[in-house]
Amino acid sequence: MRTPHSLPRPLRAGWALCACLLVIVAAQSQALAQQSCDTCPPADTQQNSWRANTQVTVNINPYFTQEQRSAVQAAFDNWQFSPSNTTGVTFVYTYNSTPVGSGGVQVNLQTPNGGTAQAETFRFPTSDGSSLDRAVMNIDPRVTNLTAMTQAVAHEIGHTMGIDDCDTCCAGVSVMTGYSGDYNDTTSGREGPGSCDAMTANTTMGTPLTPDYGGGGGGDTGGGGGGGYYDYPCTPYYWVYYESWDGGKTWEVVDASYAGCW
Amino acid sequence: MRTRKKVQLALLAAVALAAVSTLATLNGHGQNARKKTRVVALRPEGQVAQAAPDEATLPVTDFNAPKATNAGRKAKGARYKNRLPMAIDPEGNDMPASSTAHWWVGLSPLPADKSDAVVVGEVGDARAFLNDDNTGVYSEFAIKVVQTLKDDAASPLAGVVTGERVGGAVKFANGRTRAFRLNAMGFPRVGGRYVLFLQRNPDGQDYTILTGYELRGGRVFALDGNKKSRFGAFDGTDEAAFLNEVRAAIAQAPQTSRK
Repeated sequence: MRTPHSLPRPLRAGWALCACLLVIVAAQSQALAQQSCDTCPPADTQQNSWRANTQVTVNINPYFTQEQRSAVQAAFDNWQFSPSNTTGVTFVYTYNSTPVGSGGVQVNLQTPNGGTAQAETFRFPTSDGSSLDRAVMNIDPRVTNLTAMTQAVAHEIGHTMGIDDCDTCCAGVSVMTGYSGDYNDTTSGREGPGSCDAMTANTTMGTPLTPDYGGGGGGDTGGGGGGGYYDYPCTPYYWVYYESWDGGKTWEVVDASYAGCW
Repeated sequence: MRTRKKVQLALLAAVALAAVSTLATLNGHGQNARKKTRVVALRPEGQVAQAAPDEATLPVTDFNAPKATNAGRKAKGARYKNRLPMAIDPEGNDMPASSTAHWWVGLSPLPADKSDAVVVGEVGDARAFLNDDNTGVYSEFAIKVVQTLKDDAASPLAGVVTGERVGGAVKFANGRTRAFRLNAMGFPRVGGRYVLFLQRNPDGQDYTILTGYELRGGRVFALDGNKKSRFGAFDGTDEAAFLNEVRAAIAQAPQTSRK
């Protein structure tokens, strides 16, 4: 009768090594399968986003029905109250026929340019080009499913919070996933930001200051108690990532993330 | 007994060899088997903006430039009417910087099926235009055709063709210059060599650039999208291999017969 010890020691060690290799191969295969879609959207620039701690007026066109209005508003609420969102951007709502101006988002029920997208947002920069001054958001009237409408609006809000489209993101993990072409698809997006959406927004927009930032209990740099990072006389710095495919002869910027303010 | 051990040893060697080679293949696949160098630098805000790849090369038009009177230009301008939510004002205050129009919906990375022509071309000139009522800005690129990969069945390509894209920069009398672009839509740079997917405009006049890829240093760089877009799939690919992919996409695409 064969016992487990009937194999010579080198053979046993060899089989053990093989088993280890097979486990590694299986793990690598699984990792690659998971890599086929991303979990985090790319960052956009500060120019396309609100400043941290801004209160934004959201004016929802009276053409929206009460249910649609609630669906739109839910997307803004989901962003504002996301526990991972530390940008300090808050939203207040109006329902006027007169469009809102500086510091606001005008939400319309209107076919976007090109007629193929669920929604489109025009972004107007501040006069110095450092951040977003106002935005106009057009939602296609063919978006009739209320969940799809909330998802489309949550995606567009992302475009004003410092995050960019993510064609390669896994369905349901990010508000910035690609649009399938079905106006009422509810399977690929989200009604509010995922944790990675919020973290990317936090990175682009900078995090709010702690009260003693600037040294020694504040007061000397705070400019009369102003609570935000932008009230301080410092220069924002970014980590800029460059890639070269030709041995360093030419470089291109592939990513940038907020580093801090000095 | 000795034979059995030999068989076991051979089997063991075969399994180990298979596992190691699979591991190597998987690793190669994960890294896309391309040589890439990546560095990171700490830069102040202003210099990050300056480093944006094509912002400085955006075609510019003068807000106060006389409006075109010829029918062709007027017809072209009409296609871009109301692309902006409001007319651009003389100070440039009402000009958005960008739109998130998701213009790529329905386009594949190599949209040969939607293209009337696919060319390798060199960009010789770039100009921006405002339409008659200042509700649209667009750019035109003079493309010298170097190689035709797919010819326009209705109007064979020759010499220089004009490609268009939504967006461009506008210079105002107050000295301000503001740019408008669709999110993720790039602008070919003058002097660059590109594979361009061209769709004839509805009025038969010139072409819209659906998407493109710059050919530089034997490598390929997507004109459009960010690193997590469908267009980034070929970034860094070898030029010859990429052109083969384009030819294959053209061969698989149904023949377009748009008039």
